[in-house]
Amino acid sequence: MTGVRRIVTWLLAMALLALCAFAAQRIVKIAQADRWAREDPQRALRWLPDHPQALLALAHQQIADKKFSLAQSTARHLLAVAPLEGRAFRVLAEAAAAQGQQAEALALYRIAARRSPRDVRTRAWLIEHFLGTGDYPRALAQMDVMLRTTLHKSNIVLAAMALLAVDPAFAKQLARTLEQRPAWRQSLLSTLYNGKDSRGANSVLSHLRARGGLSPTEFDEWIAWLMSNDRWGEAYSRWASGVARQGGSLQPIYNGGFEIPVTGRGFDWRITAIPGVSVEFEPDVGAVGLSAHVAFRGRPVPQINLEQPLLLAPGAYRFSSRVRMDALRSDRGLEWVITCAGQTDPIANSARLEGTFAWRAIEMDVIVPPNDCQGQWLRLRNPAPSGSSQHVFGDVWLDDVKLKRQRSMTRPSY
Amino acid sequence: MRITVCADKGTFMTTSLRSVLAAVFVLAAPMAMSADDAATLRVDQGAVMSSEGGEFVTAQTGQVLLEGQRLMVTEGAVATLIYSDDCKVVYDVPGVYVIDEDCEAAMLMADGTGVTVTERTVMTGSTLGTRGSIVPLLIVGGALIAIPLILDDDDDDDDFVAPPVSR
Repeated sequence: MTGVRRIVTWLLAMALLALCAFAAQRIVKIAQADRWAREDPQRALRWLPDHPQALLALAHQQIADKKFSLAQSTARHLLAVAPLEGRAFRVLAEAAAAQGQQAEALALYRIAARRSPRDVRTRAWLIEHFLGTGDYPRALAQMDVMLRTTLHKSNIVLAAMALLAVDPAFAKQLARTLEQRPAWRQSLLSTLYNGKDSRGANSVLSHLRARGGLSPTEFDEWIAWLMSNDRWGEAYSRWASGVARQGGSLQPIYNGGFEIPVTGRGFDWRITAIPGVSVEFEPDVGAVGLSAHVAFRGRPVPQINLEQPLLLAPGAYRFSSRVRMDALRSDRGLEWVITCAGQTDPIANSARLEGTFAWRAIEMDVIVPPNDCQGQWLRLRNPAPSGSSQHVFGDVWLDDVKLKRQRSMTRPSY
Repeated sequence: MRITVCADKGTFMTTSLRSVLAAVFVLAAPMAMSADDAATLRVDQGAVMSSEGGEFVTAQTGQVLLEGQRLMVTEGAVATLIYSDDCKVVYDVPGVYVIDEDCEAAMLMADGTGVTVTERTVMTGSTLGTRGSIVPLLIVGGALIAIPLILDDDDDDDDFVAPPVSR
């Protein structure tokens, strides 16, 4: 019995040893194959002839060396050991494309895209192909997948989109895609704004707006971007395209009577929240319709929160406004000023107003210089400099804010 | 350019002199027209407005625009300025344009503000970038651009899912 047990034990030990030896050599082979798969696929394949990564790397080498038949053979070998590997189809597609078989290449690339959705080379070829044939919907569909699946390439794809948006047909299709609000929408808008060629941004945003796909906030950002790029004329026209025109005309100061609800966007009045100041539009005795009522609660007010951008041609103007004040007290009163965009010194200041008085007209002359004054800002200002007392108490009502051209037109220098 | 003909009171003008002046005036008249009346507007579509510096008012086809006036083309609008020598400038990009008496200068101004690119994107081929990357070459708006969709060969392997060791 003891002898039999010894034999069985010995046999089990030998079997275990053999198993360990087999596992060890397998581990060594796999480790060596994994080690050399990318750098030296031939060497890796000597360790493990069916190593998928080595086969793929070898196929890439063969494509790069223009050994297309060998690459196809390697790709088929790869498919035999890894049937779901889409990049094997991509290798076959690359070989087909290199040999001028475009239709076959397209079919193979489509299979590759389905089986390996994150393969950048496949997506790149399909994007290139669809762009080349003018099939922008399909090109954008590929870009969309690439943006959602290959995050480390998103900047490149977004930059490509921004470049291509100069083409009106591409911009139109891109706007349709953006209407679906993909996750990369805001990133693309930022890329468009930062691009060198503003035509792409304008074209895409214009199509989006025409289709109702631009939010008010995004429209505001667009107008602000145009103005910050010294394109005040374009900003004005795009804003004016969607505003109410009183009597078919647009006055130099929009909504100077405050009769239309203030939108705070474009070239309408803008009101920003400032502690200690409130602005309301309400009827007042002695005013026709609505007037702007600005109430100050005695807090320091470095600036008043009522302003409007203007697009005045160079030349002379007469500014006028009706004003009423009730116990308005401050160190230096309040004044209307007009400044050229991007500059601090005003081109016109009104008389400083304070105290209590009934409705009365105030006026000031405005000379818009021919240079460096493409756009202007009209502001109600507290002239007290910082460091001095900027406290303002009391109430002011404003109405009929107007600008009239004074002389016959002069030729601008730009 | 304005051409004004005037004679002091009491100046004697012979018939021949009058004829010469009349001839000069007649010959100069078209020049004066072309300079003063910079261009005639044709509203092709949409809302177009003009301004003499103050308010913008709706502009109509046939309206004569003078140098220095401003033309506003709103979204979706197209306007054509027709100069006296039949030179035409088409404005189809929203913006505010200053009328220039010179047609070619007006064209430059229109270009500078971004006239729509009409050239379609054309695929011109592709080139291999570093380490075999694909760089599509396109013509967009008449300019050749390269779009490096792939930058390096790491794209080939970074998402390779190795099979299990038990294979």
